[in-house]
Amino acid sequence: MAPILVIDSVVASYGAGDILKGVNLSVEAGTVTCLIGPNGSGKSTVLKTVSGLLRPKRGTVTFRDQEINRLSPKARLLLGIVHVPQDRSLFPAMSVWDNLLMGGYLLRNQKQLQARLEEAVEAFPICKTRAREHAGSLSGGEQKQVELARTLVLDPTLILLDEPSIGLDPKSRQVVFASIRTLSETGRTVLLVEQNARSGLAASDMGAVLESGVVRLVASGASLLEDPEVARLYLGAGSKTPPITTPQTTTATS
Amino acid sequence: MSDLLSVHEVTKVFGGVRAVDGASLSVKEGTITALIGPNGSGKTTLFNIITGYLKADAGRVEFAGHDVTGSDPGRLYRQGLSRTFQQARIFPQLTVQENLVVAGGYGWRKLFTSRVGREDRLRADSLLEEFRLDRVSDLFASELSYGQRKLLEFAAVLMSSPRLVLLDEPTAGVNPVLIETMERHVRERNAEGITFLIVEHDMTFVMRLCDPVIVLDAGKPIFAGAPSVVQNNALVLDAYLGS
Repeated sequence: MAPILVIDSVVASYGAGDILKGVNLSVEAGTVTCLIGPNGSGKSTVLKTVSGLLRPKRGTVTFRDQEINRLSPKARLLLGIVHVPQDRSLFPAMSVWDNLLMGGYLLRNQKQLQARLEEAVEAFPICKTRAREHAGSLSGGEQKQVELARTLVLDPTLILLDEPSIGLDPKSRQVVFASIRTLSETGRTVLLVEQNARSGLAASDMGAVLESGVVRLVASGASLLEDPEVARLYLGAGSKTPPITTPQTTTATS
Repeated sequence: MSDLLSVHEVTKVFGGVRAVDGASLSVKEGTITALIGPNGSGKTTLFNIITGYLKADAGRVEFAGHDVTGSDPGRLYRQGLSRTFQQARIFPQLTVQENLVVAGGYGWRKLFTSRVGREDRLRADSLLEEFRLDRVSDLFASELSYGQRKLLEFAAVLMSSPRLVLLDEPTAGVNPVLIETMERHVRERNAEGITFLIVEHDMTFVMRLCDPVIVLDAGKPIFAGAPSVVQNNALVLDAYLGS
C-alpha cells in the first residue's frame, strides 16, 4: 500500500524557537498510527500541521499524492482530514444531538446525513441516550465520546486524534480504543497522539516516537511495546498493558 | 488518626441532574486517599464544593475541625487547603519560573526583585529540571502544551506548604515516565505530613500510591477500602473498572 499521508522534513514553530525540527513520517492507508513522546516534544504540533491549523515554515505535507501545505483547514476538511483537538470542542450550551448535527453542517444531502448520523449513534450510543442534554452538562469522558461520534458524521478519510483517552474512566477508555480499531476496520486512517502510551500502542498498527521535534523511531506498535529501551525512556516501568476489549464486546458507559 | 476533611450529606443538583447526591466521606490526616468513579459520577463537583468553587444545595463540609461550608476558595487556600484542576490553572502571563515563585507564597511585587529566597530558588530550579520544564522556564506559561501545564501546576503545588492537597486527574496528559516522578513527590510530601485526596483514572497509579480508595458512583460513595479490596469488589468492577 502507498502511504496516504507523508510528512517530509517539516519544521514548524509558534514564534520563537522551532517546535518541529524536521519531522519525517509516513502513514499507510487504513492503519492506526500512534505518536508517543515526552511532554512538549511536538506531538500536537504535528497534528496541527496536517490539519492546517499551523503552517510549516519548511517541509511538505502530502495527502493522497497531493501537496496540501498551502490549503486552508477548511479545504483539508473537505479532502477528508478531520482533527479532534485535545481541548474540549463541543458547544456546551447546545444539546448533544445538535452538536452531532453540527458535524454534518456541510452536508446538503439529507439521506446521506441520516445514514451517517445512524452510523455515529451505533458506534456511540450516548448520542441517543443523552441526546437532549446540554453537551456542557456531560462529564469529560462523555463529551469525548460525542466528539468522536461527530467526526463520523463527516465520513473522514484521515482522523487526527489528540489524546482521545484523556480524562476517561477505565471503561470508557476501553470503549474509545476499541472504537479506534473500528474506525480503521471501516477503512479510515487514524493518526493519534497518546500519553497513555501503552494503551495507544496496543490499539495501533504502527508507533512513532517523537522527541525534541524529531521522529526518533518508527516501528510496529507491538515491537515498541516490547522494546525495553522504549519502555525505560517513554513508557515507564511500573504499568502493564491494560486489556483492550474487542469492539463486539464493548458496552456503552453512562 | 483524626479526620482532616469530612463531607456530610452533601447534595448538588444541576438542572435535573443530581451530580452529588447526599454524599458523605472523610479523609484522615496523613493519608493519600483516592477518589475514583466513572465519568459523570460527581468527583469534580465534589472537589468544587469542598474547595469553595461551588455552593452545595445541602450538606456540610468540615476542614481541620471547622465548619467551612460555603467558604470562598481564597480563604480555604490560606487555611491550608490547596488543589489542582483537570484543565490546569496556571498564570498564563507569567513565565514558568514566575509561576513557581508565586506559588511559593511571594507577593506579586517581589516577582521581579531578588528577594526570592535562595532555598526557594533552588527548590524551583530542581522541580523544573525534574519535570523537564527547565528548558522552557523563561517562556510564558501560555506557551506550554497541555501536559506541560499539568506538570507546572503540580510543581506549583509542591512549592506551597498546604495541609491538604486535592489533585484532580494529575496524570492526565503526562508522559508515563514523569508520572513516576509525580508519584515519588506525592510520597515525599506525604511523609512530611501533607494529606492528599486524589481523583484519578490511572489505576496503576492509584493502586500503587493510595490507601484508602473511595469509589463514587451516581453522586455518592459506594465503597471505601484498601486498594487490594477495591480492585476485587464486584460493585466496583461493574460500575467502574469493567471486566
